[in-house]
Amino acid sequence: MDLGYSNDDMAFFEEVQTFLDASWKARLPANGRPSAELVREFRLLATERGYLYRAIPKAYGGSEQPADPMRGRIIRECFEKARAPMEVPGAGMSMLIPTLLEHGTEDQRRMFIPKTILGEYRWAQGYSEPGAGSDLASLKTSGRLDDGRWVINGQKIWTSQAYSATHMFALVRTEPKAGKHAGISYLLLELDQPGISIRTIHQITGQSEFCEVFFEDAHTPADWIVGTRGQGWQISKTTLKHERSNIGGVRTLGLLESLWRLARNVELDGRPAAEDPQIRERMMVLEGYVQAQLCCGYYQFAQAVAGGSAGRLPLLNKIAGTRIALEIAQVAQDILGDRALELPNHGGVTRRDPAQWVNQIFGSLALSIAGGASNIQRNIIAERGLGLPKDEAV
Amino acid sequence: MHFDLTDEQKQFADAIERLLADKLSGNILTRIDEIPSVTAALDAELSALGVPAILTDQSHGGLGMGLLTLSVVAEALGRHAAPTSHIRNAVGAWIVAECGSERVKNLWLDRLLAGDAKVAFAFSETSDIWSPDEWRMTSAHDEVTKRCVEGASDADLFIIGLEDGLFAVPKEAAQAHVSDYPPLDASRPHASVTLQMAGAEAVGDRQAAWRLYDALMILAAIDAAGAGSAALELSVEYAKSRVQFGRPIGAFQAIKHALANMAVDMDPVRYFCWFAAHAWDTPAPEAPWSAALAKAHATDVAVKTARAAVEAHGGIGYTWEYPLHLLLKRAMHDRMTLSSSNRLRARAATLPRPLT
Repeated sequence: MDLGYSNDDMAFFEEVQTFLDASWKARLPANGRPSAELVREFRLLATERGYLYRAIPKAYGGSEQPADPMRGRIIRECFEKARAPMEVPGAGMSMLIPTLLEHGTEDQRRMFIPKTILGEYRWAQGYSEPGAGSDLASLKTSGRLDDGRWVINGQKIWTSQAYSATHMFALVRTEPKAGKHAGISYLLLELDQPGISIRTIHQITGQSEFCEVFFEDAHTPADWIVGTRGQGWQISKTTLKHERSNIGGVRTLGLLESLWRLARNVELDGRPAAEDPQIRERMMVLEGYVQAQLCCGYYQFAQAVAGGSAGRLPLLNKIAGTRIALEIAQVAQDILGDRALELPNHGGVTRRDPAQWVNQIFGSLALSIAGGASNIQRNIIAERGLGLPKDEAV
Repeated sequence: MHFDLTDEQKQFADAIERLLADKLSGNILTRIDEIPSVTAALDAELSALGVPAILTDQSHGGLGMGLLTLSVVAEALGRHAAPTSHIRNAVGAWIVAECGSERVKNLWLDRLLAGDAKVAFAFSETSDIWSPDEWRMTSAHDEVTKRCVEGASDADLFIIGLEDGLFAVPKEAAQAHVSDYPPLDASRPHASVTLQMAGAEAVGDRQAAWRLYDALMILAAIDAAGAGSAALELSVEYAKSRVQFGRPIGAFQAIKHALANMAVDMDPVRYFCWFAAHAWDTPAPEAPWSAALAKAHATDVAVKTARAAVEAHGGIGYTWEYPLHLLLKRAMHDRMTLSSSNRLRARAATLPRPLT
């Protein structure tokens, strides 16, 4: 057991910090708000130095670094501390690029990856449909080849940020006569075209981050298919295998620290909520769960560095994080009391006071749905993690 | 940075695990009459492996392998609900070596390190008054009485927590009052003890007492983690083999989700315990926070998991012949001794937490 950093690690720490001082902190304007141009230039510089887009070959604009979770972690820590931008966020980076690297053609990689990592192409994920949620493979949106292009009809839903995206990667039923899973293909398409309309979904917070996307004879070129026809289901499971530098539990710890700030700043009965014995007890219960999750994350990280396996532990992280966030929401609600009787969003602006926690109180519920509902994840833990019998094939 | 056990620690854990699987096969611990002979046999084997000497520094003749190594042993013992005095003896040898006078060391240390003398810790004064800050009796009393003293009946040396520090008293000056009722956890019998203080030897101040208490809390935490994890694994195996409605019950989502939730709670706990043990070994400023919170968290989650395991089993889990209740009682014992969870959380809230 060694929780310190080696000399090599420390040297790398210093190297990254020196870079950030010169290329980020020193160039920030007085008001602390970087321009889009500065962010863009900084990302290019950081990529040149091998700090960003490490899994992506140089030919596609990446920095092509050998997998090294420890370095990845140091970079992340230093960048987060300096509040410097990391890779362009979104489904393009996290889902599409790994998929193209593993299954795309050379033309597709050259066409899409460089512009995605520069943020020029922003990707929406077209998976869920009104009738295909947890049972995703029952999706019905259809694609047929007609005159050298795909013609797409149907509807996608829960599409994050579709209104600001330029492109979509979508699961589409192209082989209606094949089986449920074998009839699906992975298509890429432009969103700005007459056959596509986008409608935002009004969420329980009053905000709109998710969209519905309607396809009425939408088009995309015949060769904008990743993999072969009918391979889409399999391909959609591709994830970044390069280096896992994030540690489960770190984000949850950040949320708990925010809750402590709330508890110190908001008074209950004439004294800070943090001093209320019941609130404090519940927060210390949370501390236990968060610390256990953090240590479990350290262990998983150590296994990643050593090239070993952490067994079933990685399957547990999502539910663990969700459960902690749900309980944090409950405690926050009790701290806020009647301050939580208003929605904190108005006219596209979110208020900047303790009542903004109402967004977390609702958002914690979204965590238990988005990216695979918790009850589906429990099936996965039980079947793949605990070795219990599989549900009948559906 | 490498958050894992060393190869040496893993080998140690494997050796203990093999020993326990061998010695405790056939649900032998469900037969109360067998427990004394099983305990004696285990004590002998664990002595041979050096368990009583793990914590004591090499300069005092110990193995100097640290609390993390002893914790790995404690986890295996918890997993098997194994009866042995050697975790107590290892901690007792350490405090005698660190804080005892030359006279005390000469009298006791070699015997303790060899596993030839047994230690009992006498802390509790009234219900839920366990920890050093709560001890009210002092060495000025002619005699003191302590409750819930584990291993009181066959201890050779008592280490007593008093307001003015830790004191050692031999068994000749101790009178155990064994209850007519059996202990909840048959693997760890306890008794009230009245100790004559004339001739008691100081073996540490209040600060040493907290170091000792923190170590014992971490060992209780990981013992419970072992018991809770074993309860989960028993439930998983049972769910694969028990057939109802024509299918293994583990094929039903109701059981799958219950077991998945147990894994989400239980699996991460041991790594928190490792962290706490490592912090104690360092020793890091957050060691007291980690010890108190790990004890509260691990024992709460272990009891919750073991209770859920009984429910997942159905009727068989409520019988004495099936070993699940041993694990439940083991975790309950860990939870109810060395301060209750809510007291420990209140304590941790006042202590420095780990930096991130």
